[in-house]
Amino acid sequence: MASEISRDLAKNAQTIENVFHTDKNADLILRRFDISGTWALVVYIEGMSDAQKINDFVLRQAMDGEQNKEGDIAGLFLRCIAISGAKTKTNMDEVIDDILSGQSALFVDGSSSALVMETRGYEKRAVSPPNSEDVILGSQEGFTESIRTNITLIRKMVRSADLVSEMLLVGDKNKCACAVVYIEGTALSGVADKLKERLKNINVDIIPGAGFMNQLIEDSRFSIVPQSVMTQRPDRCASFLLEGQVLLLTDGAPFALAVPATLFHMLNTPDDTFMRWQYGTFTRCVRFAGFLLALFLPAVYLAMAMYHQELLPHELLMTIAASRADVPFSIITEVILMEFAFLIVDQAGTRIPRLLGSALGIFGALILGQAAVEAKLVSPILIIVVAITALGTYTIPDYSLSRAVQMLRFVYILGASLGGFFGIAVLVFLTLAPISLTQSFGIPFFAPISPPMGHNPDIIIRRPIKRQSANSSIFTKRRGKA
Amino acid sequence: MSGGTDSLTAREKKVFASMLLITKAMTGSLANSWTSVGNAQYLSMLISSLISILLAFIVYYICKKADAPFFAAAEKYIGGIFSKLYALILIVTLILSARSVAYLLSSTVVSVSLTKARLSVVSLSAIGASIIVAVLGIKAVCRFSMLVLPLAVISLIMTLIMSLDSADINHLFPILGSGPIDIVMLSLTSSSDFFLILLLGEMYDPNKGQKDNKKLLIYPPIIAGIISTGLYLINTLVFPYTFTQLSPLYGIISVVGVSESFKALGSLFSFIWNTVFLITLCAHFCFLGHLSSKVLSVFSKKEGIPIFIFGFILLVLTLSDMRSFPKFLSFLFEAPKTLPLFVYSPLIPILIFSAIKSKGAKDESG
Repeated sequence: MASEISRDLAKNAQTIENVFHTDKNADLILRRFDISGTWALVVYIEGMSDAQKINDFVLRQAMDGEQNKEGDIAGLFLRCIAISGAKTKTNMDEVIDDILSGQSALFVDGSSSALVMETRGYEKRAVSPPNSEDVILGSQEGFTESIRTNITLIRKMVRSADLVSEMLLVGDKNKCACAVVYIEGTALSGVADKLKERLKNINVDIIPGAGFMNQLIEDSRFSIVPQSVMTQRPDRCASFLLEGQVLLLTDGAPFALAVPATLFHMLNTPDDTFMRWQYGTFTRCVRFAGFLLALFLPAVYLAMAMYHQELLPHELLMTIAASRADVPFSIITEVILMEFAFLIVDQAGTRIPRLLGSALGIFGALILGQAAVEAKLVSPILIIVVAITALGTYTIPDYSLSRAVQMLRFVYILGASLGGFFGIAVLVFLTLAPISLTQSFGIPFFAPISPPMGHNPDIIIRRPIKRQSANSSIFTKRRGKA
Repeated sequence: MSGGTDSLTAREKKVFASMLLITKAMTGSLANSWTSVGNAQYLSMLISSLISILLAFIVYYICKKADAPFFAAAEKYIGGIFSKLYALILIVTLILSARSVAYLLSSTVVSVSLTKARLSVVSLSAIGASIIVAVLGIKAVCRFSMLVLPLAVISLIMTLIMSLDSADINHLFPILGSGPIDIVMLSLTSSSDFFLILLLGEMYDPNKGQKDNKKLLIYPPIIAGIISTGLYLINTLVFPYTFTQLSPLYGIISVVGVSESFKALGSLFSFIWNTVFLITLCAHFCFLGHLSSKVLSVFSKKEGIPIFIFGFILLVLTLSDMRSFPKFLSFLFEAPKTLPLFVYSPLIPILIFSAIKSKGAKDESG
């Protein structure tokens, strides 16, 4: 394929027809017209470009012989085409990429450049509340699949001339438009450069979405914990930017990736900031307790029931023993079965059509809860343990972290079954020590607790707003050291 | 294995060093002090802590003069056969010290929690987990210890508070217990803190300021000394003469268990401190890896191979908890009683000689 645009319009047209397989492909529109005796060609993809805009501001303007006597690209660009987002290009590959993204291209016979015009007009979803990050107080705007809309939403929140969004095309066959967004002078400059470097080194055919992109840019693909925060909220992104983090937006995905990210970024929600500091701190403590319960409760229950009965009050011990008297399975089998059943219900709840969602609730409650207990397949107290564990899992705001917690839970259950609290201690040691080495663009996962770092008083205990400062975040304190 | 401490921040080193010293003191040979010094065992810990601080100053002084971590500094000022002997002693001591920590950890775990588990299984799993994490390096151990430290401190404070109910000041009398000689002898033969002071000398960083290095080497023994002495004092106030358990930690847990309401906390604290002991054990292996590479470089290839084989066999024997080995070696495994005599007798003159030589080097350059 020729990389430079030819002066011969017929040759350019042929090149485009070959690339887009116009003998089979009905999407591509090639409109030839005359400009004061010179042939011109407008190319766009139907449905991706706004045809009305092309008709009114490209064809009508260009065909006006009074305004465009020269009939060349420069004249068209300077005096005719009334579209603000227009630029001339000389590389055919770039022009084709722009056509594929929804822009339109104007070729003129005798010109070795083309005019690429911002005429995107494909259908896109309107801005709506984020469906995976509900808040009670706070903005109800969420990202959409359009990268331009998402950048606009962020700019509405961060009205700073230093807000930079660098556009990149990533991927080999399917060039996915991405934007690296950061605040110049605030962000760790090394992070933005490192992120761009990783994006440039991506050599996959297609990038279906943000989750895929997340896996391509992370520091350690073997670590069980995620190394970035995925969010649908522009207000959260604004907060990340002001603290010094860098965002990665992907066209087609209603999520932004924020890096570097620590455990505490994944456990905090915007609601904590919108409430008064007392309520925010209390809510965070409850959420942190939920996180610990999700991680350790089944293992602790197993350890106590199998090895450390002295922990339980006598009455509770008798209750547990009585409730388990007729259960045919060992306690470890019971725990694993119920945990597995919960995972299946969780997956089914994600996949089930909305209309049938209530049926799943009835099924889960009646069949797995009531019927299983009455059939003496499981003990009632285990249902409570699993239910509390499930609720604890759902308090974790970050979806990836909640999956990691689910996986680690099984590891600790195994440790508890083998050695009680000692077994849990050994496996906590074996899992958390490597995780403590996991970094996200140079920032350790457990920062600022381990290693200790100066930070904004906004980790678990949140101080009043007036005592906080974006300048004291762990990122701004390490500016230039990434 | 990587024991390199260059990547640790000063705060990480300080916190890590403090925790190591506290846990070693709590599992140390003073555990058997009840029978010899009775209610004055806290005095033994106090004297032991003072000696640790003195030793820390000596180590710091030597490192400062040589502008190098401790082993490099000792090699510079000692050299020859002594440095090789010192190297051998360090390796053996590390292995035995690791074993003693693992053994005490296992015993505490089995006696408190896992009555069904075999001692060797618990011991092996503790050592195995520690070696695996040690391969990741001391940075992983250090960062993990930062997470566990708040829990450990909270459990200690809660234990102290809950113990106050049962405290009786009359248990302190007679103040000198069975006699001052026993107290002093027990302090001198305690191997817990002294050995770690030498290892902490490896954390000396010539690229950092003297203030940072001083904090690293001096503050941890002070902090550990205050906490350890306090804990032993509480033990004395609560259980004066009849306490015969393996480690003072178990005594602390038992005190907590006095009240039915707080009985559950005893096992929970045991869980937290089991994790802390695992960290200590892992740190031993980190230092073992770190020092071994440095120490073996002292020897020529011809000398190094048999030493390496000897060390490896010793390590395997240690890990397998075997006792069926030649009688002449059996005294090695009577740690911790014989350990101090075996280690510190040659070390003390080496350290004094090193200090004199370093002063001489300063006078020459001055």
